[in-house]
Amino acid sequence: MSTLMIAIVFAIIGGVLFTLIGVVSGSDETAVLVPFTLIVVLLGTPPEAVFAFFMSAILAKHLTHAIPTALMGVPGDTLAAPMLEHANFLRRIGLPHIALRKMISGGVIGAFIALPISLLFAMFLSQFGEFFQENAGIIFTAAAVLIGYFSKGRWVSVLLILPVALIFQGLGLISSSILDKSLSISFFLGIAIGPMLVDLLLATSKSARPMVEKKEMNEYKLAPEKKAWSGYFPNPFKVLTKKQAGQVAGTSFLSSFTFALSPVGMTSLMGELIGSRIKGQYKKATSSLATMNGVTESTYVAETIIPLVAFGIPLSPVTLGPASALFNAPPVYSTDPVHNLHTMLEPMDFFIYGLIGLMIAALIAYPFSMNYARKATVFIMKKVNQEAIIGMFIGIVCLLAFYEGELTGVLVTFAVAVVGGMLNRFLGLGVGVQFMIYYGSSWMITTLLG
Amino acid sequence: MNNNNDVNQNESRTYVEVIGDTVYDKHLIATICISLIFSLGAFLIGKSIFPRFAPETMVQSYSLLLGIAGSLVGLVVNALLFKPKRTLNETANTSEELKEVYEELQFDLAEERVAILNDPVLHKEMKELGIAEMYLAEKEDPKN
Repeated sequence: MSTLMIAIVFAIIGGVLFTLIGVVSGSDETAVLVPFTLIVVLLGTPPEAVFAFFMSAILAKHLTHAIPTALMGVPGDTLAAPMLEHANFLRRIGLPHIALRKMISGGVIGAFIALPISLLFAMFLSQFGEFFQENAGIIFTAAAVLIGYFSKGRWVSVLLILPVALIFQGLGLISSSILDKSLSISFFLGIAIGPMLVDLLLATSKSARPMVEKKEMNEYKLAPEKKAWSGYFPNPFKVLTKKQAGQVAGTSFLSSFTFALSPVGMTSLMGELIGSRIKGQYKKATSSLATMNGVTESTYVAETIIPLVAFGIPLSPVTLGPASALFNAPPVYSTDPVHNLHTMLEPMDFFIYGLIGLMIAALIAYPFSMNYARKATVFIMKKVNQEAIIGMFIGIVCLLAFYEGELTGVLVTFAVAVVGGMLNRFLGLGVGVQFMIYYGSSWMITTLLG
Repeated sequence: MNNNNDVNQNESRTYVEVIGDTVYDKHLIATICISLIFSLGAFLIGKSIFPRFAPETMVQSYSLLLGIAGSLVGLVVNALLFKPKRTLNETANTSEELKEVYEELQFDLAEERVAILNDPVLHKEMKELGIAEMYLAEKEDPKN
């Protein structure tokens, strides 16, 4: 099979898979994207197809995460959280389907604007790439301090950087002395599933159980189907008014230049920027939702492409979390020395295969969300239990850790998840900061302790 | 918890919230075990049978693929074994409720109507969607 065909096949797999995952509420991007991207990389998929898969996955995810957000009022993932308020208003007045249509139309437009713009900006930045690569250790450490200070934990996050770095290095040393190779997938997965594991551990502990205990089942309200629209593939420019399309395009364009800011922060900011100047709640809500979902997607595309094309090391919140497997997936990709998509693909490849990924995801997820959103939601709610979904993730994570380092790998993942998850939940040391610490840890420990 | 271990007595059950949804802990332990058996089991089976007919470099990858297939089988088995612990409530909205919602959220419905009537594009969109009536049907005295 030619590379192009393989890329198309993987983009279809990514689009279908993440269309389904997106419908499941609370499916955090990092926890779902890291394991699946790792699998694709480790299977020896050509880099072009890996990139097409990833682009397709993030667009499909950010279109379908609008389904639980609009129809049930629960955030589809981390980035859907800022959209809840407006989505809830429209749901309360019986128009969830309109919230959904505005969101996904914004998302599609945002993605296609971000790809060329962020790529051009990355090419401009690539002249500084070597400097970044040579000083990666210092940069990650500085970034850990910065991101840590601006995260939920504030000073405690900064205070924890060194101790956590020491824990990571210690675990790395023990596991490499047992296995004669160093682990990294196990560390990633541990950081990614930390929050989920902590919930499970709290439930197992007699003293902590009341924190997560519920007397009643969760109840979800779902608005009834209003009116189907004619045709199978609605035109996103018809769903949005001219003005809204302009707002989405403008904010997506602006956010395509950002690669160091938090995507959730950008989403809230741009939504506020547009919404605050509009009179009338209905118009305010619909315009803000279109804009926000456009920005969720454009920041993801930009924050993936800019560090990938310009530097080859993960320097943005997105590349530290969801996209980390594109940079580091031993033995296939590594950041030290830089040997990953950055060195394997030319800017033109990024454009072509990125476009393939986005187009295929749009063809799969957009009509699906427009036509089957409610049916899919009812099916998942009534048929698929949360236990099975959690079970699958734990199974896949253990499988990948076992693949990398057998029982040692599984234990390292578990240890990292316990420490990281607890610190995240109780002290606000975010997942992004933990990834930064992981990348900077060897530099920190060797520089400070010799 | 009462001691008569009758799982059918829903009243005596408590649930645990994991990543935003309620689960029943005994079922969760079961699903995790089943999922691990299927995924790691398939991987280990792959490691033992693939060396017979696959090139040595590909054994790990093929086994991983088999493990993924195993975890998907595990998902289907788990989904069939247990019922979801959530209730779905499907309710409709009416135009009387519109007023209530606006009052509760402290938005001004009269202002909203003015905004719609002053914006032909918006008005047209609402007509096409069949929601203009909900807003404009019952004419109220605008509040002063």
